[in-house]
Amino acid sequence: MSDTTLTLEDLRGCLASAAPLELQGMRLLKERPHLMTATHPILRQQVVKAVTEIVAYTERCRVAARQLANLSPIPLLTISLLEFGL
Amino acid sequence: MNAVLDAYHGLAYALTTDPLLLLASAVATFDPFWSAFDDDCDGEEPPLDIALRVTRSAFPDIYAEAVEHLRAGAVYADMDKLLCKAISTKGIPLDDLDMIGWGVPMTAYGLDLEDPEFYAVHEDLLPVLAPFGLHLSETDGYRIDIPEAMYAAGRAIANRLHEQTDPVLRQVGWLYGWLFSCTGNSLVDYTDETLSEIPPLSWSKDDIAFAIEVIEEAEGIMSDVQAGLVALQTRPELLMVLERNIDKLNQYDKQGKRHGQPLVLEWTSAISGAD
Repeated sequence: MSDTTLTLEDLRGCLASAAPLELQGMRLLKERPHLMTATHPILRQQVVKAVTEIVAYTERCRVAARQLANLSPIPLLTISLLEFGL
Repeated sequence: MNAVLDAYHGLAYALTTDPLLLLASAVATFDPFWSAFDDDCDGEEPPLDIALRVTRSAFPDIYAEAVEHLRAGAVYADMDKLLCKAISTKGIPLDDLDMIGWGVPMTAYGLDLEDPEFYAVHEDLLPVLAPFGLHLSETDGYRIDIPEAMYAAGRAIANRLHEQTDPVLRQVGWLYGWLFSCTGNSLVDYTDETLSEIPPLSWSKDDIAFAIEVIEEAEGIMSDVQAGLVALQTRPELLMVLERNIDKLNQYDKQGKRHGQPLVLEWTSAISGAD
């Protein structure tokens, strides 16, 4: 076992430092926040692209969540994560 | 603008200022059914749920339109009409959303030559079947007995016509391919009854793509079938050449095959119109 030590806070910080996701749907909402009220219709083609991308994204998330839920224990040989130490 | 709407728009704007909230808003806006369906759907869910699941996975443009309409307050009847029309436009004939749970709907064009009722509807086909020796009589009851040799001859002629380069001869080949159920396309070769015995295709992406391909091919073949029939009805010389070749084929089966001679059928006079 090496000397590297990681706390839960470090782990959270590491994940939180990942760059924010940029999806077309987010960009559309940012440009036109009132889109959700459906009072400002936008081009169908733009919506279709946004929907296609978000569906692919949510599907990836679902798959990732399912895989994480069924993840086998992984022995950390070089990092010590104190909160999960045995 | 009243205070409630003002607050609503204010909140909508506030949701866009934080990346996480913006992502959640985008998902809620563009993919509100992202977690609505189980992975192991069994087709027992309400038709609208199945339609949303199917379009979400295979036709995002239809899904986007459906979400837009639902948000605008569309009722079931509107959604039924919208989704059936949109899915049919993609090449899958869906007339009623209630049918979506059965799997991908497909239309069978196949026929049963031994069913007398078939000829009541398709009397126009009798002249093109006559050269094979099919003649209906009043004694034909519930079933017409068609010898296996007639099917074999029909299939052989269809195959020979497919080998031709002339488009009209090939169309006539599709006509006989349909009549003798040997086109290779299940929808063209199978009757409704036969098709109903086969488990329908699921609404998975792969099955949908396969269904669209088969349906498109079947429609193309049936259009050629119709063109082939018109050609035979309007060009007597074509029917004569066909009759001659069917006779040759029958003679060959009786004599030629025994001597190992190759069967040579002649179609050029049908193309040129010369007898």
